[in-house]
Amino acid sequence: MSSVVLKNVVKQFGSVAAVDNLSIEIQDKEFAVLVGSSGCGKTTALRMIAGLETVSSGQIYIGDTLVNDLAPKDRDIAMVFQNYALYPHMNVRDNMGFGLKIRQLTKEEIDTRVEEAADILGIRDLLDRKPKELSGGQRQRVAVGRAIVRKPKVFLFDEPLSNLDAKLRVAMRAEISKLHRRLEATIIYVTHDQVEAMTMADRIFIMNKGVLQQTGVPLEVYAHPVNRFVAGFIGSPGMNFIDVTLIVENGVMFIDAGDFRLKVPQAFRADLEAYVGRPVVLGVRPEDIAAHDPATSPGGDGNVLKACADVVETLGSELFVYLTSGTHSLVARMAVPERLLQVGQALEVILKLSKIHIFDKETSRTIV
Amino acid sequence: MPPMTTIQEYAAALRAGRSSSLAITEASLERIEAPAGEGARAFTRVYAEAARATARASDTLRAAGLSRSAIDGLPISIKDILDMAGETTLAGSVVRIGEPVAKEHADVVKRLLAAGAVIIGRTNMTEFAYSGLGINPHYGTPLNPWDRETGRIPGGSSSGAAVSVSDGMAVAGIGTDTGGSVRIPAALCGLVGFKPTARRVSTRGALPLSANLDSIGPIATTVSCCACLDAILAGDAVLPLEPARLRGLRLAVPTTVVLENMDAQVAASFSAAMTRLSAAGALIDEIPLPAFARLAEINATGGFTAAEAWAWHRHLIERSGDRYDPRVMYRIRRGSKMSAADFIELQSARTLWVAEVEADLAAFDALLMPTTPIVAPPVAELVASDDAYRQANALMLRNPSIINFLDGCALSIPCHEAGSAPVGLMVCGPAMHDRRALAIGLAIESLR
Repeated sequence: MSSVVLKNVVKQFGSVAAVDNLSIEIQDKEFAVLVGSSGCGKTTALRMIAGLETVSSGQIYIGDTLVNDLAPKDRDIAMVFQNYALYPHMNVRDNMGFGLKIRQLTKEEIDTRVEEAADILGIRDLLDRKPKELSGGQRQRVAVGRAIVRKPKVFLFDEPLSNLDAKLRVAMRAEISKLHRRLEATIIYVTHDQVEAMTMADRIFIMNKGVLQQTGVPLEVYAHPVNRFVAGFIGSPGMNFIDVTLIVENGVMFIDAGDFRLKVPQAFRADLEAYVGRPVVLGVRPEDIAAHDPATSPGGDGNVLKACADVVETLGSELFVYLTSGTHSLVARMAVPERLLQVGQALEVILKLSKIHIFDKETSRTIV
Repeated sequence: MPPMTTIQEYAAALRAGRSSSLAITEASLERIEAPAGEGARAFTRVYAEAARATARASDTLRAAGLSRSAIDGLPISIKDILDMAGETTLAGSVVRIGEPVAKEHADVVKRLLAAGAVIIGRTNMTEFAYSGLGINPHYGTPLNPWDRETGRIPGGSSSGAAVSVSDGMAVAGIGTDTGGSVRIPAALCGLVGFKPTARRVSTRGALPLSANLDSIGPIATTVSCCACLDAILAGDAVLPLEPARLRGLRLAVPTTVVLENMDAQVAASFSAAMTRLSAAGALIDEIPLPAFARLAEINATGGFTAAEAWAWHRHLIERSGDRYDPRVMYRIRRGSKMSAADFIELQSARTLWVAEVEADLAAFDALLMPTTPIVAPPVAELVASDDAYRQANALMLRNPSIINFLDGCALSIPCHEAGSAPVGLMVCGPAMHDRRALAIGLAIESLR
């Protein structure tokens, strides 16, 4: 197994930098997820690691080896995809070993590797079966087995779950996480799905327009996004953004949204002082908006707003409430109240001011 | 089945005076005309008298010490899609009967005639070349040489071309290949078929299916035969082909798309061929080619073929749509829904796709895959059901058409055990690697 290091890697397509000065260090045995929307450069980065794409500049190391000029097959990596056809006339054992057989490994070596892989995947009892006697999930495991027997240093996954239905996707997420623990292998996983990134990764690497935005463990990135892009990309439903101005009246700092005002917590003041009078963006996660019941929840310290519920989505354990407050639209994630909210109902909501984010409108960087 | 022999063997027999062009031509005509044979369905037109005259001329020239090429005096069939001056090119249709006649021969026909070929006749095909199965409701479907009792498809669209060779009615057949139309019938009938890089062989005088994807290539009994004919069709010098050295050859087997849905016969023949190659010292790597998985989406609207076929056929369909094979017209009509913007998008998608695949393949000498994932199904099953027809057609075209989209070259070589259902192994390369693909194919052929 092995670490993977990219140093100032650039991939230029004509005048466009698909990957722009990417530097990342993936530890040995780490589950790293490169995440971002289509065109962000994540797949190009993966393809450069795999050797399927040349590097315009910069260095890629697998372990201690500079691999820039190594052919894909000499990099000790395995790319795992969900379409990995099996030979229908061969049993599982022969299917898993076929790639090794045509690479002239000895029968003993092939048997050992196939059995090891079968143990890791929990499919030892299937070794004598033909593909047609397997379920879809079992076949997928055999396909992964064909990659494992090659004993690669690094496994690369390129959107392996994108074609699966929602239920199978959830099951496979858990399956791949388990596999990672048993393999004790370095995995680099590319996805556009932030839920996959959040649920599976040891660390996530968020990319946008070819540039790495932020690296960190999932909860850290969720709680402390470095800019508005990351804040909006991670989390579902997404963070609410409202254009606001910071004002100071009688020595008290307020966030002025036009339709409502929020009192800035004392802890944030020092960082925000320089932005008074300038346009900034307020970010609030949906779960940081709660229904305000004056009888039970304290409030009134500049953090309550009047709103109207436009749409109420009931998920069973929680609600997504789409609100309008003046000219602003917000989505809130709330616990199911005793009396269900009605569409069109006026209500008061309370914002958890300690959890708000303020972004520089010009640079999109996080201020607090 | 009559004994099949190669261009090289025929040419040697002629040189040594052991046979004559007229005798070889008469034997071909006899097989075409044999009532129990497939000649009536393999050919739409037989040039018996012109063939005899050409053969006599060839014998006369040879007696005087003149030989124009390795195929001088040998019977070659041409697909019904190629122009012959003074005739209407029907391309396996009835709808074009009465349309204007061609003013000159197709470029490839001119080249064959200049090389001294005896053009024995025009071979049957899928109407307008738009299906990989070889079923023709107007002129009948020539049966696959394998399992004649059941009656299996020959593969298409160059169906008659393949059967003319398998049944000894021609030494080689010239076909066209837009999505596998040379390689599919070659694979299903146990022959060798070569699809060259399109730009190498002029398509002038061939009724178009898709200008972006059409190519012209030979079907014959051996790789050497195909290499010889390919050189003649392209106007290249005919040089002897040396087999590539298998030891150390870097071969890629893509694990994406092309190995899916294999039947047991194809899987067994293909994997056995890989094992033989590996034992001979070739370095075979199974590699994922994610670009292959995106092709279905790129071509979801019907791709180049539907759009370009619609452009060519729309007026004829308007006038006499009822005279088309409905299964062919269904496919052509898909092109009517494509916009200019869709088409332009498709062109740019292809450029990027080709660059990506070429980069993926740069480290390899050739790409290997089964030509078709299944062996030839019975004709009756596919005639009876539109669904069965569509499914089988999609499977037949799936692998070969990848190489047309790549603008590459590919050779289909038999890889099955003698006596069992024919299976084709496809040796593919990027554009202009034709000679390399042929040399590798020649080496692989010798392993059987």
